[in-house]
Amino acid sequence: MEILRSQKKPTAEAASNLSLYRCAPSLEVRLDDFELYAIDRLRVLKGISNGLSRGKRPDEMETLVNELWRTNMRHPDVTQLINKDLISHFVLRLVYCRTDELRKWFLSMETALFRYRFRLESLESQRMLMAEFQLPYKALNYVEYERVKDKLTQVSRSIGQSSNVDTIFFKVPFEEVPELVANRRVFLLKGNAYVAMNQVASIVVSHFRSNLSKALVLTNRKWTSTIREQEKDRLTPIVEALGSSYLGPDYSQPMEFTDISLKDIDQLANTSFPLCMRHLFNRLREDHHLKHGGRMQLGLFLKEKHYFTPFHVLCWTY
Amino acid sequence: MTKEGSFNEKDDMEIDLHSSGNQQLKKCSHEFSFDYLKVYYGKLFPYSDIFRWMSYGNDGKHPACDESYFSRREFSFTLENDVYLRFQSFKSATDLENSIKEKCPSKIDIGPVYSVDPSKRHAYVQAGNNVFTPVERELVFDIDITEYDDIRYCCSGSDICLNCWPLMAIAIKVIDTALRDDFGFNHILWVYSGRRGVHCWVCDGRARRLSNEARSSITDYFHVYKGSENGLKKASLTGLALHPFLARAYTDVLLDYFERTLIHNQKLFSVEDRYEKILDIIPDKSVASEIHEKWQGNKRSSTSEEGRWDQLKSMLQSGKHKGLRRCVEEIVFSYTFPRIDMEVSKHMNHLLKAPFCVHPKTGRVCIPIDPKHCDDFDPTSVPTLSLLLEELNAGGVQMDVENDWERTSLDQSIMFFRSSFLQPLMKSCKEEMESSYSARVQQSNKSSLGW
Repeated sequence: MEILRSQKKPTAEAASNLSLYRCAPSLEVRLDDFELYAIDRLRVLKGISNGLSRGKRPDEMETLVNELWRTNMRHPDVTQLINKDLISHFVLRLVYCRTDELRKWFLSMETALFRYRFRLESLESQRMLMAEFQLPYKALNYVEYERVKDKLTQVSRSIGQSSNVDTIFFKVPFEEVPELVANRRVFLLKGNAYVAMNQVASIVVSHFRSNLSKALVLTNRKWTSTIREQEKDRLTPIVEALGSSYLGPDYSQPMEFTDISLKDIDQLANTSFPLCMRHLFNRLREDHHLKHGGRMQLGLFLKEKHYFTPFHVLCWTY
Repeated sequence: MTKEGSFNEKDDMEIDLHSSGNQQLKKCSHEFSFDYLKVYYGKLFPYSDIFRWMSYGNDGKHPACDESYFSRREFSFTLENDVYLRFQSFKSATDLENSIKEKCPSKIDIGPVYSVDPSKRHAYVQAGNNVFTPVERELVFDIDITEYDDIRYCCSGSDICLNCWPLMAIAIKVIDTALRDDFGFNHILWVYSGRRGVHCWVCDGRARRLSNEARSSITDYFHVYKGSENGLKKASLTGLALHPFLARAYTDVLLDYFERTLIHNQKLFSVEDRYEKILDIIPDKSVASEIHEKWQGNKRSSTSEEGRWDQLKSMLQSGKHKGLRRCVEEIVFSYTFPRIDMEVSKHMNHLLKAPFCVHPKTGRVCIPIDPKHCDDFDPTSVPTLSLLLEELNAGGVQMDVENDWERTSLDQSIMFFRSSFLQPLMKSCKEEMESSYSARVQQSNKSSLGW
């Protein structure tokens, strides 16, 4: 079918960076990279999880995902970027296929990741992805479009979107777009939904989700039946560790510190002391005296902060 | 010929009936009893029609027929002592008939077609991997008039009358049109539920194969109510324009019924409580109270339903006040738009009462409704069990009709069921089966060439 509205042809540069992760790549990967790539991706997914649980809006999520991806999924060798994407995804599939809860979490996060990355892709790239999914969509030809264009405009207006004459519309069976049907965001005629290009993401994402869901179940079967045993000396420990790894800030080591001297303390008291300590310190300054309990508390605090002048000197100074 | 003959004879017989003091059925004193039901199941229930319907063409001799299809369908019976039997299945029409005659259920429900015979499900339930699962089920809707109790004043609870029946007619028209025009379905059966509502069975193959998710989305497509305010379920309409489905419903059905029928039947504007509820929908309270005062005063303003509605409309549509653009529509939608039972339609495994059952509380038979003439349908004069039995008896011995129901008021319903629903459905099933079969044959021929 011809597409009337778009005059551009897809160019080679429009090839998408987004993968559908249909099958595991046959690449060789170093054991370190096996683990490290997975950890980097996990940071992205956990970042998404945080963002969603904080109720970020879609536009905020888009920015967040872009940032998370750029920060964590970098690689010094540009040609390796896509490989890192693929490898990390498939390693995490192994990690997260093992229980129902893990599968649910991974599915949600990967789908969200895909959804926002898709939104950031160019129009041409998006259309190529649609084609890859072999979606039963047909771009409207001129005659069809003319017949329904009033209704399409009406739908656009009803959902608060400006109807653009350049918008491409596709005809898909209504079963393909349940969310759009449920919210009356598409025109329906004789069992077909007329979907605007910008709504297409919804279709693509739901296909991504259902494919991944099925794949995870298969992966789990393979894992339990063969892989776990086969790889028990090599990959299995890594996979199992990844599943329970903590990726937040490292609080186990003492932080870097410098000695605090008397002259710094005034300033530090205002900026860095906790309120309780600040209060104690201010009372000390005002009264030049602190009772036993207060002295103990403030003293311990200062000692911990590596301030080594004896307390009585402090009192006399002030 | 037989029919006309039967009418005359019936009249004569009826007189005879009363004078001869027929012991069995003088004049049925109540509408329902299990004795009557036994006779109904013995002579009138259309077993073969239900069987043909539920087989969807698989009861034939075509090589593509799936012999197991009918036996994978779940039926459930509610017995006299309220015992509920689920997962009943049958191998043939005779099997179905014998079981119903034997058990005499007060209610028969139809469930989905499962992957395996439901009565053998235990053999297939494995830990974690559920092989016993629904595979086909009609798309169904249940509309109960009690959902409209906040806006109907003629009846309440399980009563229904000609003043509130239009609400059902509206629902039938709006939903039927949407199912055909928007979703492309063709084989739709509307049935009176026997007391206070209607059921809808969408039987196209495409409908039977819908996933739960798709069913959910269709149900949401039909949903406009967003919670209730002051005890009124309010429709919420936003956006610069109405979706074409809603706009069509409004222009073709809702406004007309509201203006010409409902405001009169329900006296929506002449009773203060009732019009206050309508005025509550107006978001601009100053406008609402202005109108309220005018009507309360009553001296010079119109008191007719139509007059007041016109006044209200012109005030809201005058454009003098902001934010009232959709108000007229919101009022009309709130008082007319279909209110379906969402849970019934969303899941494949939801059971629904079979057509031609008898409702135990009213004795009325669940007969089909013609959506094109749903305005003329009168739920209060639907054939009852006792009426049918009287008619049977009155028919006497002369009859050479093939079926007993031809002598009764059920005749019309069964003929309608066959001509407008069953026959087109059977034709379509046959075509579908033949085309998919020949496609498969072609496919296997191609691959077997093997070059």
